[in-house]
Amino acid sequence: MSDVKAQLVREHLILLEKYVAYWEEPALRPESMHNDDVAYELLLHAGHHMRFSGDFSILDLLKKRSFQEREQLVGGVFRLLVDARLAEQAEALAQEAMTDDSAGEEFEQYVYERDNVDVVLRVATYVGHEVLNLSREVDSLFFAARSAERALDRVLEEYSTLTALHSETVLFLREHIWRDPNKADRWWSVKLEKMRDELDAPFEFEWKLKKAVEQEVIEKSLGTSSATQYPGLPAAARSSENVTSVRAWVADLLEKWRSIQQPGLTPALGGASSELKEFRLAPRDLAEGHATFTAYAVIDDEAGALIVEFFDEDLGLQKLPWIGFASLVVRSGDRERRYPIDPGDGVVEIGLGDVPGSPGVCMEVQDDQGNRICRLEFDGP
Amino acid sequence: MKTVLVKHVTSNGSTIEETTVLFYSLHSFTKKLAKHVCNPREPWQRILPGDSVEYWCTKVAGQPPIWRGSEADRQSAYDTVAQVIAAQLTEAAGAPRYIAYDEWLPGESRQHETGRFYLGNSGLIMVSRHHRVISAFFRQVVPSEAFTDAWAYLKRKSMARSASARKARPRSRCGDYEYYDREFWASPPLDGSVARAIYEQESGPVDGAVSRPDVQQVSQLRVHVRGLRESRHE
Repeated sequence: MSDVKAQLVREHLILLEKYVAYWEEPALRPESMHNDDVAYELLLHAGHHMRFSGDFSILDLLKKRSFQEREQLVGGVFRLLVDARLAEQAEALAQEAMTDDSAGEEFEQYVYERDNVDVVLRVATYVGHEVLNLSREVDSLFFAARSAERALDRVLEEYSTLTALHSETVLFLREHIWRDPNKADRWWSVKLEKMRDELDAPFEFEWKLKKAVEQEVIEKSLGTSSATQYPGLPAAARSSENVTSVRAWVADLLEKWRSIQQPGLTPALGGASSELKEFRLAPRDLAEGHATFTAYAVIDDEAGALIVEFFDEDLGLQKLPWIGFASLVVRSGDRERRYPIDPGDGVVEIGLGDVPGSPGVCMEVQDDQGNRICRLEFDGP
Repeated sequence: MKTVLVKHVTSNGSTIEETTVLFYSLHSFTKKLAKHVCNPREPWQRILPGDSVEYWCTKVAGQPPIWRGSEADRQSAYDTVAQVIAAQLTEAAGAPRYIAYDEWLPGESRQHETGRFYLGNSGLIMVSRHHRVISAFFRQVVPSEAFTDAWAYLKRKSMARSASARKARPRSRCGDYEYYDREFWASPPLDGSVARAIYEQESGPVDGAVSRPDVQQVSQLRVHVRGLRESRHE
């Protein structure tokens, strides 16, 4: 068993022991904790223990408890899930997280809790199978809890970008479940992984390319190979004996990138032709009432686009999904093209073929009335 | 905005003093206030004085809580809450009870700043980035013991982000996480009475505590869980 898995199992056992004590000896509980809360925590940690250890013995012992006690346990869990109104709270936070980066930290709780809900419902149905068949009240609570679960799902799927951005903890935990996670396709986290992959896909190639270019620069400057540092490289290229294949792969990537560049674009962006760079766009003529911001532009060769993202300088360069920015207008001579800025993530994509050649490229950020907020100028990498 | 001088422990064991600002602006604070302080699931009334929560927040059954104070109330609410957060922050930093990480700033400058998650003794989670508290909240997703729940949440989150940083995922902007102090973050914290209830069954009364007469029989489940836990402690 890996260190992380052993650590997770141990921590859940400590917490489980505590909540079993709370369940059996109500006098030990804090005043604010009720039966339903304890039932939820007890089944949650029992479920996580099983999930990371593959040991069903605790669940089997819970199954042997009296009918009445199991009715209290699983009924309490379902009641709590219905009362918690997770979907409503998650939606309110998601809306705020679109404009306030700090709310993302709090939204992450709901992605994390969705996984907990998955665990606790599975355990409750396993332990309370008989109860669900015989108790009409618990059965109807179960359906209400499943509706609450589906409502939370809908919110997380509606804000899938935000959900995927905050999926790190759940996906990390998923890596440590007791059986092959790819075969455990009944877990909700599988859905989450798909969301994350969809989000990462456009960045994967760019990232690998950046790392490969860095690698090439390091190798050239040091005259050595440190290929094993970059997990993004193909497995065959990770070994230090395969320096030749790394170079060939880098050359192949660079060739692919060059082939989609438009003539005239690179000088306008101020970058050398063989490097992928992040460019700073400095705002000029900033209208009153708008905070200072910086825009960064990155060439995404796979999407064939120049991606511009806005960051708030006043907020310590937090990413700025700012609703006040409606569109980016690119002008060159008489030509003018307008690109909508995504109000959700503050990103605008400009097709590489649409960007006018240098010199004289001019970009303007406008609000939804078409008023100019500011002019953007390339400030060099 | 109010600032507070916080003493932190560094990775080499020495202490440094850092000035931390509480929130970006009065506006951003009021948004936090409505969302967290007015949320009936978050036990702010335990740490805020008197009936201030009832005074600031309007609660309508079935509706999210809203801020009902005037402009003038914002400043006084900020002063009151900031004072409480400053006290929780200083206490958490001094304990120490926080997790620190480095965050890379956008761009190619490779500059980085420190972010921290503090866990107050009340279970309040305080998020600080670049020497500024940007949020403070109780884990309120399901009602539970705020302190233990916050411990578990921050532990899982930091474990995940550390692993992600080691894998150098494309979106990873954070380095390894440092736990202060390591012992506190190594095992879930147990309330004294619960720890006694668990451990005195193994070795008799501890610390002179009187054995509880109500526990006549230990259930098979508890014996089993204890056995598994002990086998994992080695």
